[in-house]
Parts: sequence; C-alpha cells; structure tokens
Amino acid sequence: MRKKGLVILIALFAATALLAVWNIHMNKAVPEDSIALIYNGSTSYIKVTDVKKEDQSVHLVNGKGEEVIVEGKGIALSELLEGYTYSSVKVVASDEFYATVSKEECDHAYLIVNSNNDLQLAVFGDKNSKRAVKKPVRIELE
Amino acid sequence: MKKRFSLRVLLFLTLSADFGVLLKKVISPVANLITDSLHIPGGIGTPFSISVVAAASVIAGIFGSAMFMSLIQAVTAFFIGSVGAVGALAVISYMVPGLLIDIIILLSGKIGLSDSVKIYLSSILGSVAAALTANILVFGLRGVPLLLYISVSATTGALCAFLMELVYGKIKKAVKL
Repeated sequence: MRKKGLVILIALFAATALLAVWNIHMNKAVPEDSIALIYNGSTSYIKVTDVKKEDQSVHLVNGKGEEVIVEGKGIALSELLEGYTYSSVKVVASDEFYATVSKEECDHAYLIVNSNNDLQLAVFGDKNSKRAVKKPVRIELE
Repeated sequence: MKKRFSLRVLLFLTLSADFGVLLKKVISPVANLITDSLHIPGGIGTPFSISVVAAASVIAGIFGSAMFMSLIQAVTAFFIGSVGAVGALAVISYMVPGLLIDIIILLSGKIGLSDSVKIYLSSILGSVAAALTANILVFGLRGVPLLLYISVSATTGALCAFLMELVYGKIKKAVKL
C-alpha cells in the first residue's frame, strides 16, 4: 500500500498545485493596495491609499469576553460607499473569509489600518471579533 | 469475540484524541503560513488530528471509536481555545468527520479492505468532510477557492495517512487492544 499511497499523494499534490496557481492568478486580478468593489455585476477598484481616512477607535469584544480596542486611521463603510444603493455589504478577505454588514450597521463599521499596518474591518461592539476581516480584497454590495 | 469499549480502549482513544489536537496546535503556525499564501482559510492543520482519529479507530476496531475521539477533541479544543473560526460550532465540525470515519471503517471492514486502505480512505475523506463542514458553517467559499481548500485538505489527509502507515503497525503491536 505504501507505493500506492505515494502515487495517490503525488496525484493529489499535483492537482493542488494546479488549483493553487489558478487561485493565486485570480487573486492577482486586484491591483496592489486596492479593493475591488462589486456593484450591480460590474467591478471597480478603490485605491486604499487615496481614501480619506480619519482617526478611529473601535471597541470589540474578544472570545474571552474582554474588550479589545482597534485604533488607527480609517473610514466608515457608509462614507466609503456613499452614493451606492445597497441593503448589505459583504467584505471579503484574500483567503475568501468574509463578513456581512447590514446597511444600518455601516455607520459604525469601519475599514481601519490597524497597528500591524494591515487594513481590517471593525464593527463597533462586535462580539468575538467575528467580523474582523483582515486584508480585505473585495467589497460586494447586495 | 466482539470487541467492546474497555477502560484500556477508552484510555487509548482519549490519549490519541488529545495527541491529535496537540499535533494540530503545533502544526498550526506553519499551516497558517502556507494557507495564507494560497489565499484559503485553512485545510492543513485539521487533517493531522483527523489522521490520528482514523489510525486509532482502525486499531481499536470498534464502531463509535472515531465519534468518541471527535467528541474528546472538540471538548479539548474548546477548553484550550483552539476552535478557530468555527467557534462553538466546533462540536459539529469535529463530529461530522468522526461519524464518516466510523462508517468508512465499518463498510471497508465488511468488504475486506486492509487496515492501510482503511487509514487512507478515512483520513482523506474525513479531512474533506471536515473542510466541507467548516465551509458550510463559516467560510462559504465557492468556485476555485473551495476546490483548492478541498484539494489541500485531501492532500494533507493523504500525507498524514502515509505518515500514520509508517507507525501504525508498531503502535498496534505496542497497545495490544
């Protein structure tokens, strides 16, 4: 079985390598320092460095029930998406992890450059930091 | 004679289950580096703990061993704060592969497959089941990222089964269940 196992392993590894190349190629479609904005089926790009950001301090609750404060320059989603019609916003990270924020929550949901110099989503009062999407690459308006 | 859950078997399964969780915890930092670069949310750490469940269940040879170990792993992971993105739903994400592993071992035993094949099948399919469960519960991946996530899980499951096969015979001899 050891030889057969090795053959299975090599075959799976080859398939994974192909898919990895395909997936990385797909991710390169978004220009550096930008977030893709998908609205009504069309895609535009928001250059993060061009967005006007202000000092923000967002309070979250971690898994242990302790308060965590995310501070940094950021912008509220409602401000970033001004002029668009939507009922909810899906913020997606490069690893496809995502969080959904309703239109009502967008006033206190921020995209913040955190202390690690990474962009992240922070929704005020969120419990267990579940929607703290780090390094978002795509915003889908629904 | 039909095997049953003696204290010796339960101790072996519990220790193996916790070893699996520990293995996952140890491998996590390296696994995260790889999965981050592949732009997927996971798929490498979990197969390590699942392959231990698969191998120990084959050694025990009792239906329900994998589910018992999965429950132990879920409880241990919960208490050491190693539940990852699934949070309190970890019980489901551990139990689904456990149930599948039990069924695979039962069915493959009925058609006379060798222990090595049982370990490979249950480790690969258990890892894929864990990935799919996490995807349904949390990640919601679609398309190529989902295929890659499943493929990475299956490959790691196969790699772990390969490693387990190297030590399986020695462990089986040593524990004499």
